[in-house]
Amino acid sequence: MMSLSEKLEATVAPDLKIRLGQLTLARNADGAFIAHHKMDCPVSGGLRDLKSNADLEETVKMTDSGEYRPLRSAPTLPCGWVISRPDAGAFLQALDVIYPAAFATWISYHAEESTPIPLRETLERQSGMNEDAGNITDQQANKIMRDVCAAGCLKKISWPIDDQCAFSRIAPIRNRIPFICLEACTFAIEAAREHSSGE
Amino acid sequence: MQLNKPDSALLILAHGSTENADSSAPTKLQARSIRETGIFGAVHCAFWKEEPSFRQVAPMIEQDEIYVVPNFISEGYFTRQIIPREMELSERTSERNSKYLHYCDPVGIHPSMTDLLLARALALRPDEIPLNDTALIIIGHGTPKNKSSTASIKQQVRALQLLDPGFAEITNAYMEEAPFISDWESIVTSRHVIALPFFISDGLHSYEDIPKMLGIEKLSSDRKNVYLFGKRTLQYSNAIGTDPSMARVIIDQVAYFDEHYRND
Repeated sequence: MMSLSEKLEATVAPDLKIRLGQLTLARNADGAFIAHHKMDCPVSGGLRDLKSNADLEETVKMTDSGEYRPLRSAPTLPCGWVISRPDAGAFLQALDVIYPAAFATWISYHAEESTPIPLRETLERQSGMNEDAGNITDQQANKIMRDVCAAGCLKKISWPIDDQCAFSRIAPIRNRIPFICLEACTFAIEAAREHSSGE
Repeated sequence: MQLNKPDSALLILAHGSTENADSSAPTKLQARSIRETGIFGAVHCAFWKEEPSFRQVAPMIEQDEIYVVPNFISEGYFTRQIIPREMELSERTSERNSKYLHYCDPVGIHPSMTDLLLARALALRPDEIPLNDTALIIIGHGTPKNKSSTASIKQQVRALQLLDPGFAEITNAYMEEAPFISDWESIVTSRHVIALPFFISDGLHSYEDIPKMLGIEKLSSDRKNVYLFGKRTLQYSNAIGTDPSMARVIIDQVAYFDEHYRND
């Protein structure tokens, strides 16, 4: 069985440009793996070469205007940097700094090893301050998916509102790693709590 | 004995924050530091409020055996309810999708935390300040809603008192329950005081709330300042969880699991 690194190496094959969220992934002439913001051009130079994942972390956790990015899949990835890693294992670790779990989630979903969790199942599991989040209506759920998820996150929702809803699987796309959401995150849950409590 | 687990993964779980950009930094730093030791086949982090979340991390881990260490100060709501629920852990060792997850105790209750607290306190104290006229206050959150939330701090204070490293006094104080941090000047009588926050990261509490309660007007960024209160001095440390040696405590918690909870 291929490891995640081997699958990434096969996905980012030489001479291909692969899109993941706001990233472009490619190989350079030496075969090293590179990634940068899709709006940047590494050939023209001027990009900061982030050699350590600690520096990469410090860079991608803030927007270009210096605001904290708690949701890494928000469409606010800063520009102006490039990473180069000699092998797929190191490259996967770096990608997980930029978009945590994105590649592994796609591989797991595509192999049908991970199942999307219906929104209501996620909300009904909550406790503490989010205990009542599950009281939202379907209309409110759709509003959250539109206003919080679609507007603030690049991931494609794979989960239905409840287990009665039909929901088609996300298919592979050529030269892209689908950026998928398997389950509502803390931001959607907090929005559900706010709707539920009228905050 | 040196731990060597190339076929196992280490998964460190922490709270994280949607508002404080530095909240997860200590956990990520410790993960990088442990990764460099090569003890584990892989080292991952997951967070309650950041990514990868507790729910997202599973596909990232390729090893069949996973040690799950909560980077939390105490046993409580997160370690007993949230983490088991979100990670689908029902036993000390749970099987999930043909993988074995070993659920370790939170870092804050490991005996080696005592050594770390002591080392931090002694490192903070300038040589000219006599130990026998210095009080050490371990500071926690505390809440009247949960009587057990201060258990790990009280346990560490007792352990430090038993060690008897030479401090005139060793005690505890809290943000939301007695003894209150704001009463520190009457809680201890020594001329010199070291206040050490028993928190995982330097967030709003340790960076703003607690200094205010202690009466510190302007906190120095390197925490080396000695604050004067009449004839008394006060020193205030970073959160204990930011200490690089916390990586050792995480590894120790895995060793503790093997020694005390494994039955294979």
